[in-house]
Amino acid sequence: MNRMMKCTMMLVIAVLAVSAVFAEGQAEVAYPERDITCIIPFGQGGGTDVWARKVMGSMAKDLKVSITTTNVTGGSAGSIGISQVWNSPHDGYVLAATSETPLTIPVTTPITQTSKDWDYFIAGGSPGLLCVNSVTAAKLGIDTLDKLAAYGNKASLKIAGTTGGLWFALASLVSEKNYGNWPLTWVSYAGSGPAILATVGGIDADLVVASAGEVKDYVRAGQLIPIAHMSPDGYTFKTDAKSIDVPAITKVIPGIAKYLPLQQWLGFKVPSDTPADVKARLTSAFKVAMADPDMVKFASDQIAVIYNKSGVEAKTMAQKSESNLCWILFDLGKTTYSPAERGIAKP
Amino acid sequence: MELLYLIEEFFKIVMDPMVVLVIFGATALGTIIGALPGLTATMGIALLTGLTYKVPVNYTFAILMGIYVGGIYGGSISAILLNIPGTASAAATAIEGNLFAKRGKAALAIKVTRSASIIGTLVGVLALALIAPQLSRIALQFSAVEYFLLAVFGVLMCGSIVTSDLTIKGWIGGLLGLCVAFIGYDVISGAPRFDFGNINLSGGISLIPAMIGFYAIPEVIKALARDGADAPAMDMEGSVTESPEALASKSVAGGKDPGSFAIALKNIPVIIRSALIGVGIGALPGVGEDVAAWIAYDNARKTSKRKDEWGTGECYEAIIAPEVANNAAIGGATIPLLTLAVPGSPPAAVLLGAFMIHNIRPGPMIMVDSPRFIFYIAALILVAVVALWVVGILLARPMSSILKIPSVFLMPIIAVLSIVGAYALNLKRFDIFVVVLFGAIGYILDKMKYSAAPIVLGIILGTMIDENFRRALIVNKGDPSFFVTNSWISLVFVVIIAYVIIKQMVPRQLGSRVNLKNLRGFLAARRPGGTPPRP
Repeated sequence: MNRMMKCTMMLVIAVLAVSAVFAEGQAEVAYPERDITCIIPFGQGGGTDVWARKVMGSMAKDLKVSITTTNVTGGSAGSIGISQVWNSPHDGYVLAATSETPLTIPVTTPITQTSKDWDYFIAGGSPGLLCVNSVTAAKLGIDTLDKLAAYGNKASLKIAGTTGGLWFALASLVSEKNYGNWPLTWVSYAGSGPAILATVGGIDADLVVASAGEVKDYVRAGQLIPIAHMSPDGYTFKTDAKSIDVPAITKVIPGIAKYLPLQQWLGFKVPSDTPADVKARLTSAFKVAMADPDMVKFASDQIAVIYNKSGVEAKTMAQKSESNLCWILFDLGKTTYSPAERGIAKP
Repeated sequence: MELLYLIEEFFKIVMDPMVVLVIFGATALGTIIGALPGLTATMGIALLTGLTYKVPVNYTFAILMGIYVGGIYGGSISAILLNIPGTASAAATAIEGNLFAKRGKAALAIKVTRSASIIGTLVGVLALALIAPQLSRIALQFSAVEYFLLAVFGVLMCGSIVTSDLTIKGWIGGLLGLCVAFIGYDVISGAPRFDFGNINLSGGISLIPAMIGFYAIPEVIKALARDGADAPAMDMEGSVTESPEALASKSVAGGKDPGSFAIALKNIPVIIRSALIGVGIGALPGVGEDVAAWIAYDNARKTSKRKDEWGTGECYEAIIAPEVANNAAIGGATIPLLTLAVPGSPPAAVLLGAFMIHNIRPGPMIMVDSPRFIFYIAALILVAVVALWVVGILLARPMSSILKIPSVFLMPIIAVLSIVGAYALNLKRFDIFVVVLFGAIGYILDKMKYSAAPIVLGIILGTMIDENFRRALIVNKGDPSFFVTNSWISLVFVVIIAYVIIKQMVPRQLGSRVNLKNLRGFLAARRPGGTPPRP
């Protein structure tokens, strides 16, 4: 009996200990009065992760609390991490790192929140490039956009990327019948990193669409050749030794110009119904972080443009991307829910 | 030349006593984190990455590499003592390691795995420092076909995980694990699978909570289901007669056992093979210490000359192989991390994040941009190996005396740690539910004498098999002949897989023939005037 009691006691202590860990603090004082968590819905080392860690690091200094970054991956377009933030209290203590990709969540998952339900803080982004593996390029003679456009057997070429999101939409614009109609074979990977690697290896894929920041080192090492800027304008890719002029994709596929520009952008977001004073404090900290000279250097290392947008400006940018991305995916038949039923306006 | 760079960096580090102290502390902390059920090496690194944000760079990497090396070793301690692998990579060690503990040889087993870990890490470091560029080039040759075949090869070992009654139970477990791995958002088609509209399920079942459920919870239930302190601390299917206290005191007083390095020396062929497997598997982007440990375990079992020792709690090969391999995979996994910016394992993925924070951008240009960085990291791991040696000796005794704690106190602590650990990794409440549910399933399966090992193996390899099989077919326009003709690597894999399958089937037939012979001999002996059967 005594032992039974002991056993029960231990279980009670165990339960208490667990509940203590999960107990949520309350009390309303000046924000922030305790540490903040930033949920990153994608894996370590990717664009969203790297930018979130950098921006949060700078903001923590101004907010004078520590910001813990946690990668919560999985689902479609980062839906697991994003829904975790939505399901937490809307008090500014749980932030969601984001890119443009989670904007496709409402059309690919049962989650109904759209950009209307979030407030955005957009730090920066890197231009999208169509790259070819240098070995394939030399073998097939497709090291420039014109040569690739003229190449007859496009069906034998494979293009790597992640299904859903920005790079998928851009690659689809090039390859799908109603758009560029280059019959490339789509090979899907769990993230940009593995997709780029599969292209560098040259066995699984020949082409990849990714951000300049992500492919930078492979371009410098001569393993990937950037052949098109996924935008209506040309782009100059600068490395230490040389600069490469990358023509606009619209030069050979003018028909997709109306869908462009589709830009990468990275930053974080909070639910719109977060208290106004909290959002104001976050905005001021964000502005301070973006003005940090260290941030400017970081952006240039990532071959990125700094957007430094918050408030209405950022929300407008997010809504435009959302409308473009969701409707392109819908037209391709890649959505489970129509953008119209989620109240997303047609571009 | 590379070796000289490594030695130079090693001495540079050793010259700074503060850094050395930090590595020792971090390795000890890593070992403890690894040994605590529920807290993994990945989580240790993730936790410390956040905490070291403002720490100077030279201390940061000293801390993180120490945690990494210590954490991977530490996982084996709880695997041996409690049959609960502290990290996923120690699951293979638990199979035989815990039998050592049940025989009162826990301290010896911990010593042997420590030596194995040290040797493994050392080989991994040498590979990192000396042949990183070459290995990363080979790793790039692995396409979807090769990854698929590697995963199939890994899953084949389900057939050789022993259960006391039926061999096929290993396969059933493996299949169950594969099914669990199919839950969630599918990367290839971008469609949700088996999620029943539940947002949590669409993210899939995470390995760590599932593993904690399968291993830790059944042990806790079993211990608490037993009544009274005089019952043994661990279930041994009726064959344990000693109390946990007696076992523990035997464990701690393991002084008269042979030296662990002497034991390791006797198993040189296994060590060499396992180290190569560890480095090779580790160097493949996305395949980690856990797969390396399983494949090394399987390889050691198949090539063992003392097959009858396996599963008796006396087989050193069975604990040396996985521990050499998972620690060798540290150096291995660091190779694609540094040269391709693609982590070779989950802890390496967290490390990549840490590099990025400190403005170090690994990738194909690292040898041009920061040529010494690879040697610096290799040298840090090297110092951590020395630290592991010392820390391991200091921690072995207090760790083995965990068995002295009566299970009414120990098991609730383990239950709390497990649940907190599973939650803390991703901060997902759903993961707590996974631990509890899989714990209950694990307990029932344990009662039905199913081993958790093949299920966990199935979960680890399921996604790899599924995605790469379909990707390979897409890339090759649906032509399956590519699995043989893709490259020399795939051909080698196909041959090995065919050999393993045939070998798993043939001994059974031979065995039945032998039995028949025995029966005839037995009958002959029973006949009056017949010759007795030859032994």
